[in-house]
Amino acid sequence: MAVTFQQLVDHVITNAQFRHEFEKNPVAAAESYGVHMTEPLKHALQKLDINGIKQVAIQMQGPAQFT
Amino acid sequence: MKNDFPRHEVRAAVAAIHEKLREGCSEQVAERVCAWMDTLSPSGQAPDYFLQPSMFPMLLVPAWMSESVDVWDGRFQSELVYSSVNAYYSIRLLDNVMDGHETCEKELLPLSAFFHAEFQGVYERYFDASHPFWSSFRSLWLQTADAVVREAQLATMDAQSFREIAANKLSAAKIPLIAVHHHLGGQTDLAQWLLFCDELAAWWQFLDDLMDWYLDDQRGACTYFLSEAERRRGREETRLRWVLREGFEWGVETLEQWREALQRSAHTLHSDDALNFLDERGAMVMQEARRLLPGMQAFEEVALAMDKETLEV
Repeated sequence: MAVTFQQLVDHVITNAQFRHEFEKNPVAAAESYGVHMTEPLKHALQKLDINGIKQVAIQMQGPAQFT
Repeated sequence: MKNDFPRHEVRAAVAAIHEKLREGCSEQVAERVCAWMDTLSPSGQAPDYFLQPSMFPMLLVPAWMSESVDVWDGRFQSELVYSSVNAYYSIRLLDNVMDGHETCEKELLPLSAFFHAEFQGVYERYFDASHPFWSSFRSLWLQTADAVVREAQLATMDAQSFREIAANKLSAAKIPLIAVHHHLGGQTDLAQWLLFCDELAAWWQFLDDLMDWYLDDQRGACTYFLSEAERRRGREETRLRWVLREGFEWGVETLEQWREALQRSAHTLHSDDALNFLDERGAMVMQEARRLLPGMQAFEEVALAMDKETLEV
């Protein structure tokens, strides 16, 4: 079964332990979740803006900080 | 208007609610309601909830309206705060049950009658039964209920239905404006202030939709932002991908356009307080957007890399 981007994002947002692992090592965390690691994906994950991801994940999991 | 308005007034209102509950209810029920009020606030202190920058300024708009004609009746404004805090709790009890967010609200629902009586009781001290205030009161209170019921039945929302529902869902916030207008002898531009309140309600509701879009999507809620996501996304694109690609930025730009229109209205109303509020909130939204956009872009880069190959578990 294909792991979709939506599933990966949902897992990052809803699973605090996984998010912590993803923030430390996104390539290993994505692989452990079952994502098939391609070279383009590995490259994208290695240069990932981890702080940016963290900010979005915190905002998405709510409750919203601003509203 | 004092710089820290309505900090003191909100604390006094919550203290008065606590006191009345403890006087009139069994200790067990009073403590449960007071605890519920506290749990709504991120700080665990009920008054702080109403002082959050994210709160719709239902306590401030009546004060801005009064200040726009250089009149300040602190006692009256304090009573309006008490009324509106009670109205909020009355509505929130019902909303949490309707939205499925309830923790203990179902058991506390009968207390909605107490909050309603306190909300309405303030106006009974100022306007007798034959005063025209009451026809506006009934109309706006019913509009609020009507909009909430209509929203719950919607499967999708366009710009027009959003304006109707978002504005009308907050119609109760216009009741204290009607009260200010009559209390000051009709010297305020009521029609313009009501229009401003509707525009502000739409802006605030859209900000809420934008910031809560992921949770709304997860629980299957119908919002204008998610309806636009459905309309604007590519045929194979998910709502998540649309938000990351362009939707969040579209939302921020839309908010900014609406805020500029609100500023023009605030100028017309000669309200420096409203203008300052809009400046502050506009800056906060832009700061939030700058904080979130790099992460949205980072997620989008991962998505593009995952697009390049079908992935197997």
